Formats: sequence, C-alpha cells, structure tokens
Amino acid sequence: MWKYIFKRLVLLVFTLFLVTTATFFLMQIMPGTPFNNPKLTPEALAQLKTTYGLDLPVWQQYLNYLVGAAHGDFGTSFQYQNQSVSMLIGQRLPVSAQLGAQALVVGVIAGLFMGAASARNKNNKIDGTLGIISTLGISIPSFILGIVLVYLFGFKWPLFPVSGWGDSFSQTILPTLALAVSPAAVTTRFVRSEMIESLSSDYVQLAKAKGLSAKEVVNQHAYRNSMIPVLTLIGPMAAGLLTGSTLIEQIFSIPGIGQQFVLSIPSKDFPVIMGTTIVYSAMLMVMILITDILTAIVDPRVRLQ
Amino acid sequence: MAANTEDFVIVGAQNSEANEHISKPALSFWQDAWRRLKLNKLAVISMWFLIFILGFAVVSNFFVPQQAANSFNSDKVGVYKNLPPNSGLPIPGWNGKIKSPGDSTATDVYQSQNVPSGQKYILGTDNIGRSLAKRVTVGLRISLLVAIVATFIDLLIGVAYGVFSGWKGGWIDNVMQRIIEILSSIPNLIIVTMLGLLLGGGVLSIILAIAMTGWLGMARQVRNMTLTLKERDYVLAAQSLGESSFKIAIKHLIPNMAGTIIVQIMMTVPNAIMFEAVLSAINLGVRPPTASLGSLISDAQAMLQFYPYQILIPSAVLVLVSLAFILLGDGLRDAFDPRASED
Repeated sequence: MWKYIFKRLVLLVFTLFLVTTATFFLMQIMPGTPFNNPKLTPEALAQLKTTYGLDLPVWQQYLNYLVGAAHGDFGTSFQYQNQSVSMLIGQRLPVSAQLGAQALVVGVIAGLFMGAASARNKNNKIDGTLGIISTLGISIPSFILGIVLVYLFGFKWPLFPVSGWGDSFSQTILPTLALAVSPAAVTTRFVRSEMIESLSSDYVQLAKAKGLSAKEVVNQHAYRNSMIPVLTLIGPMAAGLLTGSTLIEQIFSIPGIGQQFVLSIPSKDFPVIMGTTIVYSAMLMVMILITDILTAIVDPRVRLQ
Repeated sequence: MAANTEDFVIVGAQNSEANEHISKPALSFWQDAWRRLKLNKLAVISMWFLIFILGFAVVSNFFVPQQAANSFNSDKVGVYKNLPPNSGLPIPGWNGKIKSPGDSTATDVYQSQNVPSGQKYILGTDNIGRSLAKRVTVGLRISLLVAIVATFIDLLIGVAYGVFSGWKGGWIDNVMQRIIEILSSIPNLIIVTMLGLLLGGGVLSIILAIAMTGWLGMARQVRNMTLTLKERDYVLAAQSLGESSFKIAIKHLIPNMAGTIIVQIMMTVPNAIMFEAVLSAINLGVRPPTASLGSLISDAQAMLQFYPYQILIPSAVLVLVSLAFILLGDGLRDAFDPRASED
C-alpha cells in the first residue's frame, strides 16, 4: 500500500515537472508579448525585461522558474504590478475550492438518492423520469445551465443574487446548482446500474432468504455496496468541475482561480497562466490519487499494483 | 375446467415436419444491432433528428452562405437591431413583442423601431441587426464541422494508438499507457487553452486543440478491446497463416471492435461541441464575424437581461444536438451489447 502510494507520488511529481516544462516552453514560443504598448521606449522595455528576468538566456529562465515553482513561487504577474502569482492564486484558491466542494457534495448526494430511487423503481415511471432528467443533466454544459439559472432566478424571478462571492451564502446557491447538476446526473446513472447489479447478487438473495424486509435488504445490503464504486467517479468528476467552474466563475463574477485564468488569457499574463496551469494540474492529480487510495481502502477487492 | 383442444389453433408452420425445423433467419451482427436499436424509441428519434440536422447543415450552405449571415446594413442598425423573434402568429413570446425589465406590458419592437411592415425575423435579430436564424444556421454548421472533424482526428489517432499499444504488449504497451496516464491527468481545459493560445484563433486551430484531448478515451477503449481480441482463435489462425500484423488489425481487430468505437464516437462529439463553446467563452474561439454556437452564446451573454432569446436560442440548439448524440450513443451501446441492457 505505502509502496504504491510512494510510486504514485513519484509519478505525480514527474508529471507536474513535465507540465511545468511544457507550459514554460509553450509560453516561450507563444506569439505576442505582454509589453506591446507602443508608448514604451526601448529603454523602458529593457528595464521591464530586466525586472521580470526576461533578458536572461532561456535555459536560465527555465531553471529559475523550476526552482521557484518547486518552492511555490511562480514569479510576478505581468498585469498586476508587484503581485506575486502565488499570492494571487493563494487568495483565489479557497474560493474555487469551496465552490467545487459544495458542488461535488450536493451533486453526489443528490445522485445517490436519485440513483437508488431509480433502481428500486426499475422500468417504471419514476425510473423513466429520472432517466430523462439524468440524460438531460449530462448533455447540458454547466455554463449554459448557469446562464439559464441567472436568467430565471436572477432576472425573471429575482430570488437569488447572481454575482459576487463571500457576502452571503445565498450568493453561492446558483453557481453551486449549475455545477452540481452534471455530477448528480453522472452519479445517478452510475448508482442505478450498480444497484441493479447488487440487487440481483447472491448476498442480496441470501438476505431475502433470511427473511429481511425489502427495506432492510436495500438499506443494509444493496445500497452500501453500490455506494463504494461511486468513489471511483470523483476523479473524473473533479476534472469536469475544473472546466465547468472556470466559466461559472466568470458568469457569476466569482473571484476564484478560474476567473483569474480566463482574465489572464487576453492580457497575455504568462506567469499567471503558467501558475494556474500547474495548480490546476496538481489539484486534479491529487484528486485522482486520493480517489484511487480511498477506493482501495473501502473495497478490499480492488488490488493496488 | 378441462381444456378444450378445439379452442386452440396451431399458428405458423402447419405441418409437423416444419415445426421440428429449429431455425430462424440468420442475422448478421449489424442486422441484430439494428433490430435492437429500433426498439429504443428515443434513440431512433435522436437518429432521425441528427440525420435531419446534418442534412440541414450541408444543404444550408446553398441558401444561407456565410456572407449572408455576417453582413449587416450599417445605416439601419438602429432599425433592425435586437428585434425579438416574430413568427407572425399571435403566440405570446413569439410575436415580435418583448417585455423590458421593469415594464409591465410587452412592447411591439417592430413597430417602435419602424421596421417596414411585413418584414419578420422568425428568431429575431442580434445587436447589429443580423438575422439570428441565419446566424444560428451558420453557427450550427461551424460547430458541427469542428466537432465532427475533431472527432474524426480522435478516431484516427485513438484507434491507431490503441491497437498498436495493445497488439505490441510488453514494455511498449507499458510506456504508451504511462503516456496516456500522464496526459489524462492534465485537465482538458488546460490542454485546449494552451493549444488554442499557441495556434491562435480560427476554425482549424480549434479543431486541433479539441482533437488533442479527445483521443485519450478512444485509445484506452481500443487498447482494452485489442488485448481481449488478440487472444481469439481467428487471430491465431491468421497469424499462423502468415498474415501481417497490419492486415490482422485492419481485417480482424478493428471490425470486431466497431461497436465500441461507434459508441465512443457518439460520446466524443458532444464533448467536442461543448469544448468549442468553452473556447469561445474564453476568447479563443472562432474569429468574428464568423459565428459558432459557442460564440453566439458568449457574445450575447452581456445582454442576457434584456434580450434573453439571443442566448437561449443558440443554447437550446447546442443542448438538443448534444442530447441527441448522447441518446443515440446510449441506444447504440445497448444495441451492440445486449447483455448490458437486460437489466
């Protein structure tokens, strides 16, 4: 187990190194420069380049960046003067993390209930309705859902605030809802098929033969075993949430790292783009690793190699 | 009550010899899958819908050229801008009237902006007076083009990579799988954005950016199928007869995993459509005045409160097309693998 975790951590660090290297050199060949203000004199431009260390040879910039990144220092932002990228990200990360966590929790819990309800009412109207809802939930991208929610509950029936973060809990409701629908739909479909499978398995037959009521069979035997595989979904769901939250943060003006990422693209703020890229990748990899370890802990049938 | 044999009528074959004949017409894999697919109403509706949409996208090239959707009359922007959808029929919300925020009654915008009578825009117009119906038609065309070409590239890379990796096995497979693992732990958004930034805007760069992330799933599925199929006797037979590896892949492996590949394609297309919209939303999409579903959605976002139809119409088209692909994909998966659908 520990050996496996160690191996995975080594692979994680190696992948992060590759991502860092790839982004660094991509940024080098990227067309355009952030200092394209025609008013800049050649002297001022040279001054700026020295400040940001852009006058050094590329290999030295690369080494400096790697050493810095290993210490959590991603350089200084181009667009906000004297703001270090790590500080920018550090301020915004908790916001994105809270939004993501809220959406994941709401989505998975809703999905567990809907999936179980669907499986227990297999092939009748409830199952059919939930099936349509979950298929719809998968095919609507979260940012479109976000826009529709803003229109419906922000403008048409103004029930919730549609922008900002941190002033009140009600601000988080619409963005959380927009992001939670897709995990909920994925979980529903998954739990349904898992549960149908375990309802026909031997240990459920045994529980029935022992004379347990249908409710006890479902709650104590079928449901618990169908919940374990849901853990394996958390990794892929986190990946989806990363993409979704970037646009959702923009739609709802939420000061998270996704919004920062989107804002820094048109302004060619390369240090911020690189920093967010690395942080995003690290977050996703850690989520996948945690998912794998948790799955192995709760389900001894899964063998880690 | 004793059964009265007189009440029973033998149906079907009338003589006993024919009754003993145990056979029904042999169905090929595809005929069988088609028979099962037909039972799934939603999948069949989706299929016809997609055929219609694809046909419409192709035929629309002739009656709504790109030029017609992009051009606008700069002198009369004030007359034609932001007209609500007007079907010409007294249907609330589709009669050229719109309720501004704060107003209690809807105003007839066609009248207040002095639009020549008789001129109607069935889906309304955008903020510089271009017909939204034309814009959406062109946008749908571009979005479908991007998604289908990107999926096709995914298919080529994914199948080649997966078959090679699975067929070779050993350390080659190991290295190739690690590469997939590393690539898939980088968020798709990052890869798409980076490539989008690197290649600059434009349809071709969007296609490449999307294609670079989508092939991973395909490669993984194809590799797993290859691992199973290469143990089959017919592969062994072909090998012992001296068939080359390439021909075995083309003649035996790929045809036998066609079902899996088709289902995977159906799942990749909506993803590509979505990523095109994401790219537009972060300013890396098609260059104006070209329209895609994504760019229509993100351009209209600022005016959501006043002209919701400008954003809801392209959104609805995007969702409907994605939904149809997913429903058809679900149906095909069940049709190709009947054991999965028995529950």
